[in-house]
Amino acid sequence: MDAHLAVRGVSQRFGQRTVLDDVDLDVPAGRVIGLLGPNGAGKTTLMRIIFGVLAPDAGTVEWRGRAATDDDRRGWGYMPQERGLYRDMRVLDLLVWIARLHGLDRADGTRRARHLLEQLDLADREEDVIAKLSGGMAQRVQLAAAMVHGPDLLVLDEPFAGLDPGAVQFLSNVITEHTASGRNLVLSSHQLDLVEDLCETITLIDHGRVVLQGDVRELKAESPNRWLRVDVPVDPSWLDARVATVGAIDARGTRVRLAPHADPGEVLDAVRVHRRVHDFAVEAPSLSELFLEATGVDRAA
Amino acid sequence: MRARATALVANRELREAFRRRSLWVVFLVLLVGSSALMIVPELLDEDTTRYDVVMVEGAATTPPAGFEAAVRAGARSVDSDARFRSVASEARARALVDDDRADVAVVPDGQPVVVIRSGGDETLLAIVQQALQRATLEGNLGALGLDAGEVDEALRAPSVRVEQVAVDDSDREAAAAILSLVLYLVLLMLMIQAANGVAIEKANRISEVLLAVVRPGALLFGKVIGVALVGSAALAVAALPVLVKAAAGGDLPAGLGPALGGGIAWIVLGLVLYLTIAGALGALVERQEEAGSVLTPLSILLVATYVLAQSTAGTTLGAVLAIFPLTSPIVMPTRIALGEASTAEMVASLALGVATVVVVLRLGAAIYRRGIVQTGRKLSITEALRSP
Repeated sequence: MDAHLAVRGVSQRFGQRTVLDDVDLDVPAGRVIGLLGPNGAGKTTLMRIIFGVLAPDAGTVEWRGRAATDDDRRGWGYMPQERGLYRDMRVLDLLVWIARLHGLDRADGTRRARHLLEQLDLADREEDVIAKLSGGMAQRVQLAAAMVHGPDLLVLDEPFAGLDPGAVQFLSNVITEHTASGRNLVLSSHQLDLVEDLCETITLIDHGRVVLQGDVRELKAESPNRWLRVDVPVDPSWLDARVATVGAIDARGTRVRLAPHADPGEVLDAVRVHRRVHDFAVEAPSLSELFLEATGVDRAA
Repeated sequence: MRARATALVANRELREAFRRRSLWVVFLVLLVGSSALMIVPELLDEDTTRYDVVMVEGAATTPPAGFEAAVRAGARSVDSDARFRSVASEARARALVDDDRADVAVVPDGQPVVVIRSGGDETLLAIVQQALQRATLEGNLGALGLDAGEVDEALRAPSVRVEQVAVDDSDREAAAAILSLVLYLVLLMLMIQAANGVAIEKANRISEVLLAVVRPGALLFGKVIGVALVGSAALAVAALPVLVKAAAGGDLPAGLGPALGGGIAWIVLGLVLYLTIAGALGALVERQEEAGSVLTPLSILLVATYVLAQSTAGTTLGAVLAIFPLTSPIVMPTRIALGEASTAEMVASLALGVATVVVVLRLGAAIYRRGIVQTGRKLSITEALRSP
């Protein structure tokens, strides 16, 4: 049986505004799927449609080969971008209640909730009301609320927004553990660089349309564009603009965009005329560079 | 599954409500207030009028035998009681009556004198006169040689029961006033609680998490049921002293019993109608603080209903309001308390009410479903209904 979530041809309009236009999305088991794009691209709307909160104007959401039902959806977990918890509920009460909404009985829900709170380092706070927790703790409770019932499919909308580095690391581990156990996961983000190393397959959307879709490594390999990274600042006048242009200069050095078929060695030599280079590499485009390439082509078309 | 989700949402509402100290304070206030309403009238009410009758001792003749018994019997027939005392002189007796320290003085004599304040109690005067006559007659018949049994036989007359035609309705009016006030306050409080609850869920985005698991209808009705149960618990607390008093055989204000018993259907109707509308309206707001303003039309309707329930008693408008679905939950129990509601009215009112509940549940769910997912600004009802 095909254990995956498939969104097929979903379109959604709000009044005159087209929010999603014929979007496909596949979330196979065992892989981290990224639904990426700038704010306002339609990511949250698509997630709401996946969960049946919104009924799309066109298109279907399929789970394991047939249209997803409410019962299917009760087995999924959702962490919305807009975080919300009952502030005056006790942590454990809230998690057990949500587990029961997902169909667990009280005993199972309590066991799972306690286990998760243990993992999240919140075991000693289970009797506290949520309002008494710090922002970081509340975020961990939010994650627990999405996972308390052991979902087959986990949908995380902008999961890294506003997290401290420790929480980012923790969440990354949760994500990879979830997919390593053969379950399904899709996360959305507008911070492409943040999820670059995490996502194995991506769907890039912009203004409601899919602009790039596929395996991250393949997409990078297929891109005709290459970048030369050197550890010194590069003055644009050192380079032949037909062969190489300066992309970005930061504290780590410079990313130089190479024209297709340009010889990286010649460009490196052009820089070495002016500066001594200690470290350099020829790299595939980053996710945000792929996005810019894709939307640039798209807009020109 | 939907019923289970609704039950879980209602269950959370109840658990969290009972965890709040403020609810227990409300319960305590209701219990104390209701108990006071039941007990205080008992303490103040002297139940039966007591007539103070002054007899003059050592007058020329003693009062006829049987006079006191006859007065007591007469007083009993009008739910009253008589207390006798003796004073030494006629002057003293007159002074007591004059000072309002006694109701009547009797100077037994060959020609007995009854002293009463001018404008005094005519019933009492009649009782005393009749008792004097009867006692005198008994004495005379005895003197003619009849024994006590024969005297009784001769004097036996059918006992007369006096009925007053202008029935005192103040009890029923008090019951109706208390009932409509309590219903009004409970509906107002719960309606605000339902709208606030939904608004908080929307503003804090808890609804985002919940809607992924629970259908909007279950979320709305679960809350309505939960809040209504909390309200019913409050009403039950308020009714407890009434029930205790009834069980103990105490006097209840006339009409309160039937209104509580027969009014339950309309109380349930009112809770479902008002809370569903309030919950749906709560889903239109963007911030929790707007929940009050979005309820304003409903609050005004409720206040008007409360005021009209009292003032339209006995009018055609009152009968119409008792049938109209949004006013019937308060007006009908009030009319039942006043003893004005006819069976036909009740059937029509209930049928229309139930039909309205069906419509309101559907409409409320539709508004709620659309309102709860649209954030950014306050929506109007028409906007919510028009959106996808």
